[in-house]
Amino acid sequence: MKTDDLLNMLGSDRVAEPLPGAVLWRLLLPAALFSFAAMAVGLGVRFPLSQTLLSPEVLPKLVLPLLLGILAAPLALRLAQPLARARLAWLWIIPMLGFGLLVFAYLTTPSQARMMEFTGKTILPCLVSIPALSVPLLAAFLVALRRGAVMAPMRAGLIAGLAAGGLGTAIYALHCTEDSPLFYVTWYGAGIAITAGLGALIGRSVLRW
Amino acid sequence: MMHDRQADWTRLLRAANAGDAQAYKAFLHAVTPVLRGVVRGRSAGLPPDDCEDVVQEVLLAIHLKRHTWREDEPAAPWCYAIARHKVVDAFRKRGRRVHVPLDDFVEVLPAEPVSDPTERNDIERVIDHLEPRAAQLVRAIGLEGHSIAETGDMLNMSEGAVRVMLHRSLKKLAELRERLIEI
Repeated sequence: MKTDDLLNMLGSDRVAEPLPGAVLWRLLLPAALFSFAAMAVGLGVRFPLSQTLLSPEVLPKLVLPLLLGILAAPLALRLAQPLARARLAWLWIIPMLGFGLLVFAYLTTPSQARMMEFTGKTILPCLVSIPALSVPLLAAFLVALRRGAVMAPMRAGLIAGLAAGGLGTAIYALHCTEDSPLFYVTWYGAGIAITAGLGALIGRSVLRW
Repeated sequence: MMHDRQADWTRLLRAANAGDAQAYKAFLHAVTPVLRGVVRGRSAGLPPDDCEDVVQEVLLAIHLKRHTWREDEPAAPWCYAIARHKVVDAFRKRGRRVHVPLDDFVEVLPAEPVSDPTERNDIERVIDHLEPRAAQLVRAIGLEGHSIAETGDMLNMSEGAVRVMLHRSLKKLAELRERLIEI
């Protein structure tokens, strides 16, 4: 095929692809509902939420990961646009807040209780459930990003993993009964890190084009 | 002159997005010689004919990713970014590691095709891997130069169906190339 012929053929294709953002919105809600349902059925919602989750020390375990998801999602989308600047440094706010909370909890917890609160009773379920509940969301992000033009697949996968991990963790927090920041900052953080690593790993191959 | 290119490409691509098919073709025709110059300049010993394969591959990518350009952005830097990414990728698949600074695109002398019949084989080999009807359609439009309407008549399809199948086939071609091209 001559290059001129190719240009003519490309010129007659007037169908435009949907933007990654539009694709994400379409997929993210069903994915979140799916994860929520999996949590509610498989693990059970902690009850009554209003009395437990709303105390000032416990609320961050829902709000911080949710905030991470809300911050990271648009950044991930920007990484699928060649000219858009993604200010990834903003994301550091979340681990910094988490760390502050951890220090605060360390100082206010009596020394003999620290170790018990740090290890809690559910490290393993937490480390398994968070990535598992995040995977459907991660899939939504990766499918959406594939529709864009990702220049750095690993980085985009990582940020997508952070966003999915954040949202997945917020869903898990509706079940989890560990209320000490010593537990949830550490192990939620680890669960999100696992999800982000997974995103980077998968992104490296699927976001290539 | 460089400033003109920026303004021209942006104007053409905006018009294209607004539905002006001629402007879109003009945009593609303006991009091609620049792209060809960059690919030849960085060819790392690849023969000119193979370079033209790379050019075609990059043009297909620019076409399929054109929705990632936003109208408030200048079109040329967007185009360079897509092209650079794809040129590096195309050479990597052919076993060559090249570095393509963005300055290449700004400073390059636009190049014309070398030999007159720049018939290239890569894309035709890939067309064979499409499903039969899609392959027929791509050959009719791409190789034989039929219009959408003519192709619809030939294949007994509505114009809308031809358009959708053309778009899907182009996406499929890009995917297949990614998997099938060897040196």
